[in-house]
Amino acid sequence: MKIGGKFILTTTLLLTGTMTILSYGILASVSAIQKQDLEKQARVVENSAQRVALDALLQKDELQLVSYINFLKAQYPALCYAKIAWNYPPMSQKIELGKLSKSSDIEERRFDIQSPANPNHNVIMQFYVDRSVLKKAMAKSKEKLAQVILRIWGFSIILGALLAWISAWVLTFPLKSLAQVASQVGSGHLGVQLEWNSRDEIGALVYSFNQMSEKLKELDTMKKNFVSSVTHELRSPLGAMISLAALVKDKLSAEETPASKQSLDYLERIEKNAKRLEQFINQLLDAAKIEQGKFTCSPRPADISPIVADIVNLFGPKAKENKIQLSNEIPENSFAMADPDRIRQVFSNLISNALKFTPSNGEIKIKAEKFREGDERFFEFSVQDNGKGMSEEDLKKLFQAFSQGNNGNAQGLSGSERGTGLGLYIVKSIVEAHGGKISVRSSPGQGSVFTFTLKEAKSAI
Amino acid sequence: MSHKALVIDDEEDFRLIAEDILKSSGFEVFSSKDGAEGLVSAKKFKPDIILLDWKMPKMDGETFCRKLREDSSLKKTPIIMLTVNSKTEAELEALHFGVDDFIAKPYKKEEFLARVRAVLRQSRSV
Repeated sequence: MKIGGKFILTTTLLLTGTMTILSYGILASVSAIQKQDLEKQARVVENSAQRVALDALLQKDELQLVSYINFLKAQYPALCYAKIAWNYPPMSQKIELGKLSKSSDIEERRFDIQSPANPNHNVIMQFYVDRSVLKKAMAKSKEKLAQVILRIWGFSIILGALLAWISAWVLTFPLKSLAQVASQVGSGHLGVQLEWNSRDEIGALVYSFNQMSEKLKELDTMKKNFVSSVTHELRSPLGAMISLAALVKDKLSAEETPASKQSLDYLERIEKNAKRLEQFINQLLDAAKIEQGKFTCSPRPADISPIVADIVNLFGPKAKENKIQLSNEIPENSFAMADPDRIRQVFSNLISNALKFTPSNGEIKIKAEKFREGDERFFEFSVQDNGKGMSEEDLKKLFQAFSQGNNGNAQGLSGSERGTGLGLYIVKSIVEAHGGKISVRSSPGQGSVFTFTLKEAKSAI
Repeated sequence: MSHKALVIDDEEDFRLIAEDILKSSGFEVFSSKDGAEGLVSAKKFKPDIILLDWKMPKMDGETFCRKLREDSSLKKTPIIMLTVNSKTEAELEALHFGVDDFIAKPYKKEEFLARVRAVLRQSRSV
């Protein structure tokens, strides 16, 4: 669940709980107060009835008492029945007011009042209070109160939820914006900034994030410039070493002594290692250009068949040495829109990779097929081997820079054969710079097929 | 009659390599370590071909080319650009500044000589 949802839910639940407890408390308190009021009222009524009874005795006026009790009965419906025994010798009489109800919840209250002037003059009053009437009255009052509380409860919950939603929006909006910008940074758009001016914790967070993004951009630029300048500076002396080694080799070749033969062997090793380093530097430079957006290709009508034939010739001796059949099935006059040097790089890399991972007596096929998409015609070139293939895990990161499948180690390749991990990254960039697509089909033990597309050149159609 | 070649490169090693290859093939070679010195040498020795590095202190390859083309006695001298940049970039730069060919460093002796001879043949036929 999102933070906003959690916040709204938590706040609403908290509010609901608080309001429910509060409502229950108010209702219980009001009921208790009401009960106390009724008890108090009953005492007041009883006291006043006793006082009136005393007055009636003193004034020898029983009618005054009867009249008052009638008044009380009218005022308090719970007082359902009253009995008055009037003893004022020689006169005595019993008066009954109302009717004793059949309710089982009747409370009897008895009061004996004597005249202070003559103890023989007394009156006994018996009040019968129907408590069910009282309870009904209290329940009705409680119900009314409960309805009011329920309305307030509902209104408070709705208002609370609304306020929680507004608060959640206010809190999460900058976080959402920050998440979007962070996602952009994560996908490589370093230096992206979020405009947010507030002096609270979110403002501080955004400020720190913006600083981090800027710093990342600076570091990335520094890294790119560093790689670019260092590799450029490395190429120059390395180039001199390779050329000088070739010149010395030329001069030594003329001599036929054992020492010169050994020197030639060592020179060849120097040359081989220097070339390996040169290839790595070139790939680093290409990768740096790709990252800087400076990697360019100049597609033009070019026949792909002689390019592939050249590469097949170049790798022929190595294939023969490993007893691998390397077959070029690309027909002549396969004109595509291609930058010949870059496409040479693509084929060279794919074939070199296939050679590394194909066992002895294996086979590598280089094919071309034409297909049409809409009004345009395309070539699909493929390099297919029957080597060990790759796992799903390897395929996922195959075209990422500095990533190599486990095959490199699994097949026990030497350092020079393992490569830099940049080759397929550059190959993908070259194909995409031509507007093409590259893909791979492979599974362990089933070999691999790399395919890429190029537009067919119009001049050759 | 041997051809005269002028090698202009700020890196001594590359001057040495180019001189060695050219001298072993019968060229008379002069060399300079930057564009300014190269321009003086070009005016003095009137070379048949100039092998020019692109990125140099004092005067770079581009400025050298422009100044050479302004000199009526030297403007037709063929120039081969020597660069450590990748072939595609070198090709684009070469086309843009009007040099006759380019050779990416490091180069093979055979390729180097083949390109030098091809450019010389082309300049003679113009």
